[in-house]
Amino acid sequence: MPLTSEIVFALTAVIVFCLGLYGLIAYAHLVRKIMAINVMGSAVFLFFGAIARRNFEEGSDPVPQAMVITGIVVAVAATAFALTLARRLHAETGQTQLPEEQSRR
Amino acid sequence: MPTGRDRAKEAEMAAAITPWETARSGRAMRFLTGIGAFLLVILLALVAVDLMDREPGGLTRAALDSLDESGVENPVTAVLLNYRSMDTWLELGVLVLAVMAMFALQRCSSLDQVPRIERGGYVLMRMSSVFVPLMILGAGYLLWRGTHAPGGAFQAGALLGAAGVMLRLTARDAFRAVSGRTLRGLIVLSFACFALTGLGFMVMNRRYLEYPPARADEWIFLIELLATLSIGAALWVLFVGAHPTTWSREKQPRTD
Repeated sequence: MPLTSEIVFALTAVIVFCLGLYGLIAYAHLVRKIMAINVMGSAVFLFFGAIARRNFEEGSDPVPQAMVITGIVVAVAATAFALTLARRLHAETGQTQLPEEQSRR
Repeated sequence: MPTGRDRAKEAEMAAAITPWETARSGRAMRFLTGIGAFLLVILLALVAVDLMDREPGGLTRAALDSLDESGVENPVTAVLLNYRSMDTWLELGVLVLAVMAMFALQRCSSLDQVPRIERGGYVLMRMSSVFVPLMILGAGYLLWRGTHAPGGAFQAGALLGAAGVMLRLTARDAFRAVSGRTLRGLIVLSFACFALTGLGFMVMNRRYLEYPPARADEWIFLIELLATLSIGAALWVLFVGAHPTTWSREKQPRTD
C-alpha cells in the first residue's frame, strides 16, 4: 500500500490522540486535563478528515466532514462549560484537582 | 482601573492555585501510562491503516446521489441541513445547554456582572477595529458560500463568535448594550425555529424536519442564517460569561 498523505494524516491523528490520552491520565491539574481532552478531540477531527478522503476520486466524503464541522463548535462549547466547572471548583474549595487525585498522595 | 484591594485578591487567588506539576502523582504511574499510550499508538495505527485501505461505504453514495433533491450544491451542507438535520438541530440544543450550564454555575442569568477589563495597547486596539468588521463580513460571506462550496452556518457562526471574543479582549464590551433576555433569546432562536419548522412540516403531512423538495433551498438558507446568529452569540456569551471574577468565594448564593 502506498504511503499517501491521507495515511500520514491518519497516523498523525493516532499519535496525537494517544498523547492527549497520556496527558489526561498522567496530570492531575484540571486545566491540563481539559486541554488534553481537546487535544484528543482535535486528533479525532483530523482522523475524520483523513477518512473522508480515503479511496475517493470525486473530492471528499461529505458525511465525516459534516460531523467534524458540528463537532468543533460543540467541542468549544463543552470546553467552556468544563472550564467554568473547574473555576467553580476552585472558587468553592481552592483546589485545582479532583478529590480522587488528592487522595493519591 | 483595578484598585489595591482587587490586586490583593488577585494575588491571593494566584497563590491558591496549585502548580502545574504535582510531583505526588507518581513517576512510576506516569511511566506506566506512557508505556500504555505507546502500545495504544501501535494498536490504533494498525486499525487506522486497515480502515484507510477499505472502500468508503455506508452513507457516502446515498448522500451524493440525492444531492439534486437536497436544495443545495455543497454535499456537506446537504448532510448537515437536510439529510441529518435532526443531528444539527440537537447540536444547536447542545449549545443552548452549554450556555445554560455556564449561567447556572456562575449563579447569574445575564452578563451584567461581568467585570470590565483594561484596554489593550495601541496596536491591539487599532488592529481589532480593522479585524472585527472584516470578520463579520467574512461570516456573511461564509454563510452565503455554504450552499455551493465549503462554508456554512457553523463556520460563519464560529467566525462571529471569534469576532465577539476579539471585542471582549480589547475591552469593547458590546454585550453591555444588549439585555440578558435578548442574548438568551438569540441563543435559543435557531433551536426553537428549527423545531417549529420541523413541526410545521409534520402538519403538512411530512416527517419531522423533512423539507418540501421544491423549496428546500430557501428553508435551508433561513435555518442557516438563524443558526449562524445563534452559534455566534452562544460562543460569545460562553467566552465572556466564563470570566473568573463574576463570583467570589465569599459571595453568598443569590436567591433570584
